[in-house]
Amino acid sequence: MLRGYRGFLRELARTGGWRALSLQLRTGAGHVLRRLRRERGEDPIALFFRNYGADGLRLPDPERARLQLAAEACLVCGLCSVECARVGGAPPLDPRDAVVAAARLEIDWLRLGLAPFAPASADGAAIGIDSPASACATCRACTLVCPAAIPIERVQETLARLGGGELPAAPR
Amino acid sequence: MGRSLSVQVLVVGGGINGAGVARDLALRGVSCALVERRELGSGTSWASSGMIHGGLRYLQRDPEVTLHSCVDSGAIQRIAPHLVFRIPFLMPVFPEDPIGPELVEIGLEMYDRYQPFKNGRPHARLTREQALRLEPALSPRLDCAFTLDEWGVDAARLSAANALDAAERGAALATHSEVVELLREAGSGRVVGARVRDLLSGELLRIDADLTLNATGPWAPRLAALAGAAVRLRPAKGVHLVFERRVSNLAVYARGIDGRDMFTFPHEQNSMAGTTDDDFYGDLDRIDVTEDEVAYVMQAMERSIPSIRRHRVIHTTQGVRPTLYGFGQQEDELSRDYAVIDHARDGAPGFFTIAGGKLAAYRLMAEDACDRLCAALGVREPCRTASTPLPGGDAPLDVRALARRFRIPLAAGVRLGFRHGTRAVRVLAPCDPQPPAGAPPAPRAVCACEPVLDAELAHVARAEGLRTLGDCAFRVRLGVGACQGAGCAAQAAGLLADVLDWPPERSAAELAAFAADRWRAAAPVLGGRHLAAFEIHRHVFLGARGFTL
Amino acid sequence: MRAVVVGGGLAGCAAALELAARSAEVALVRAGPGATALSWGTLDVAAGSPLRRGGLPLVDPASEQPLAPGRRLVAATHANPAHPYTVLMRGRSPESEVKEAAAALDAWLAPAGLRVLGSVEQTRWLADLRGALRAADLAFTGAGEGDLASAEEIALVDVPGLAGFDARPALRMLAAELAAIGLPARPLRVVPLALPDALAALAGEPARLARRLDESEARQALRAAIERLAAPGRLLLFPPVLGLERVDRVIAWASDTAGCRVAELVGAPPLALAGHRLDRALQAALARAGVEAFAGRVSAIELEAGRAVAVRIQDPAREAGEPERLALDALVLATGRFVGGGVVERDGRLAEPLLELPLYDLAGQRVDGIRPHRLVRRDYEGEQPLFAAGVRTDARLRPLAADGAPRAANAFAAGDLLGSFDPARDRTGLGVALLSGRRAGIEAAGC
Repeated sequence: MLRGYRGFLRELARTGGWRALSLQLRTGAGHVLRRLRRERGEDPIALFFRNYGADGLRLPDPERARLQLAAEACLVCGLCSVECARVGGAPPLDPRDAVVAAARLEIDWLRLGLAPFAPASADGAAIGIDSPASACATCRACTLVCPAAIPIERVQETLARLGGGELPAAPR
Repeated sequence: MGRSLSVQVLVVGGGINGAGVARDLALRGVSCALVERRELGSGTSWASSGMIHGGLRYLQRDPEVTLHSCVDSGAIQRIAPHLVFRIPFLMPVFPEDPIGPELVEIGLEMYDRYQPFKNGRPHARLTREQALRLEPALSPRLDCAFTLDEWGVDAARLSAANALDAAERGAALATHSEVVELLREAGSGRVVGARVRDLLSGELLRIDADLTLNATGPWAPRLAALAGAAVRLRPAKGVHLVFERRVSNLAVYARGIDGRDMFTFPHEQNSMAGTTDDDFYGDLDRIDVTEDEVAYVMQAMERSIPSIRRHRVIHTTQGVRPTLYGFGQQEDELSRDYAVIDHARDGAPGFFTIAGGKLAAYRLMAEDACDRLCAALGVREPCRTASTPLPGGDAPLDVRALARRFRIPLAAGVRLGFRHGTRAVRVLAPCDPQPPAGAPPAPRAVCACEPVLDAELAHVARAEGLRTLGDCAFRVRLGVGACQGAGCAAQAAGLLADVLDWPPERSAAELAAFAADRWRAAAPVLGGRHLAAFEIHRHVFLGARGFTL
Repeated sequence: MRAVVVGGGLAGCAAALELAARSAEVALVRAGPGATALSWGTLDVAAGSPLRRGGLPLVDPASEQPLAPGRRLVAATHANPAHPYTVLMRGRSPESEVKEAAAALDAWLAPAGLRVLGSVEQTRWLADLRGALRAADLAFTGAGEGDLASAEEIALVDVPGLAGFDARPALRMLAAELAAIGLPARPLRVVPLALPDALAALAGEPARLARRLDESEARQALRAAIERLAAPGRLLLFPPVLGLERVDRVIAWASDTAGCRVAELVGAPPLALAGHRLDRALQAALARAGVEAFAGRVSAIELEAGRAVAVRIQDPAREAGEPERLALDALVLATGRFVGGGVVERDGRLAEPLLELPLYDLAGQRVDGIRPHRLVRRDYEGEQPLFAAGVRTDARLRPLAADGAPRAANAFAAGDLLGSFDPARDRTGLGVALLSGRRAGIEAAGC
């Protein structure tokens, strides 16, 4: 706990003005007391999601992170969209748009409470899909034609699962 | 000799400070003109980290500054809720860090007191395992970590929103217009306005003004010299690296080899890494990012996130801070304080300069400057900028309903709502009483990376005074994504040519300039898969170029 | 004789098809589409360029007379003695080389409905989606029918709501372009095409619209609207959505219906289907010729006593697992440049990853082993060593090692992998791919 006491002294020396010093000492004293009493606050992970869950943050998924890394190679060439059209696919999201936007769709849509691939809402239509039944068939035609070898059908699958995202349960 | 205009205040410089002052003046009923040499916010403002932070680093020196910053961050959120977004931070503490976890936590506990002013959340302290669970890419060497949050903003769009609000309230707005001469009163040397040249049309405009404010940021000494006044700055260059997409939804602190605090942070569609802070002696109009700067930033990032180099960097931002002069200190230690200088002391009464400061404090700075200007004018109106919403910021927008009503992709609706707030409806439903034959077709995306709709481009050209293709990179973020304009710039140029009545030579010139700009920003980070993107880029802009010059 | 071709773009396919025609047993390994699939409808052998530096001139600077593409081809080799054309044309007539190559390609692609139009004897002036002109030599079915010089009247077809195309600004640009190159003025107009409802719903997804037009019932719905566009002597220029699989049928039907010439505008992002059509037609030609196609990335080439003996292929679907091994008697490398992955950044430095070949730029300087951003030059329009980087070859198109000798006696290189030319600036990319691909295949067949 005393690690960095030199740093502490250095920082103290750099403190400007009485107001700052008094704030530091008051807060510091409170902090030390809490530590000595071994007060445990709320579980930090639960606190983190209480803080930021509404902003769309979820626990990271290593599989999804790998997918995003692969998707970074996108050349925005549109060959995936053309091939999807050729084989008559009917995904809710154009493949190119899905790849380009995958990283931010994950967070923006959760933040805004939009779940575009959820079953049809009460007013009968979900944005971005022509019918509730349309879905990416994961036929991989797009992936096979991608010059950057992005596993596009997996990107589509990931986005389709977004609507059911949950906050993590409090740790044991 | 061209047109002329008469106002109470001439504001030179359309960055966040100039635009903020113009808006404040307009809200106080003071007639003003805002003149900007390039595009609104395209100088230092755009190149900033784009955060209206609360000034954590000032807690030790002067909590007053932190308090004001947090309160004002809250104000900006209130007046432009659509333009801001929360950025949660992770602050890892490594064994070799000079300040241990307890001290760091005390600092954050102090900061917690101020967070409520800006809708920030209290910090959390994470063990090593917990931190790695939230961000698996973190270096496993870390001791523990802390979370806090700040708010991000699109600085160019914020500048534009301030300027547009001013214009809607009667201010005259001229972009791509340069002050070529300051008008002086014989005898007293009083500055009574300026002669301004429109750089696109060549037209000269004479602006008579009671007061003139120099808000040109790092260019302030240049303009002041036209009045025979000296403004002493210590310009400091700052660059960022921009990743192709969000590398993480959390910002992560990363310490440089010289001990400087930097971070990688999610910002709009991307993650950014930076920033640097180096004395700048070069040409303000040609700021290049160097190999050393890229290496320095990457090295710092790697310390916190060892795998960061795997990610694709698509371009860089570069700008120069108008830091107030101070001799003998490291760049970081210089005050982020600002000054409003009355040049009467230099024999140029009626001429003021505002310099220094930081993005987060723009509204406060503008208020202070306006108070000074209004006092000089004898105007007694109070400042209303903290309580009056910026255009589009008056109410929350239902993006889903918007997308449904106008048949646009949801992702495009989200970005439109971000940039225009409630005004998004106006963007999509132009007030054209006589639409061309056949129902107007659904808006289509021109830029896939952002996305940017054709309707938005047409709107900013018609109703927001956008004048060049280059402006689009700042005003609507066209062409700054993965393809760097290869997929969208040509179509955008055609659309703008249609709306703004450009001759084909102009379109061709605009495209060539756009491509060259993207190249200069991307060249320092060219590598990996981005090489393929620029192979395509050159085919589009060079291999498919037409014969009109 | 077993030959392996690495890379399935125009260069690789041309090599494979020449090998197959000479009775070799051919395997082609392809990781995915490359630059060929991103092309826009022309096959530029020596296309004229407006660029002052690095492009091929339209007119002869001495006589000020317009240059035929064949002459530009010769000019390309004189301007840049290291250009692959210099090797390819040595001791041969450039015009007949190209004529033969075009005929061969036409024969390969015709069954898929794609023909090669034009020649190097005359510049074919084509318009693109933005109204810019292409001084093309060869072009494929679709754009190829759109030669402007022979049109009495030019009409751009405006499809309201079509994503990626704005007819009005394209027309203004086209007018300026025609004036800029000095073609005699002629009537230019935009004509609206009202899509029937079923097709109008697809206007936001041009590739789907194009696919629907492959079906004759969909075309029937369009018949009346097309008839209304007709006028004698008119060239009707459509955005490139005239079919995805059978552009030849759609164009034939449309010009029949309209009673006048119909063509597509040369594509530009995001509306660019021509490269996809070309890619598929090439794959179909490979299948017809009995070339064995492997999907995967070559991870290593085995050499023994100065000869290539096998390749190892990593199947992308099985990330782990043993790479497949293919023994070979001759090898053609047509792996492209950056898009194709023939030239990569590895450990921060430029490299050719399969045979560790040295790379050279326009000036013949070695550029492998260098950090890419160090090769960058500030002037976007000027020389960029990075984008001319590639391998150097001998007269038989065998890539050379650092000592100047062929890396392997039986290994050949073709296409964008070849160095010392900048296809984006000099507009010779697909021409080099076709000519070098065929030559590499012919040479390899002699192994």
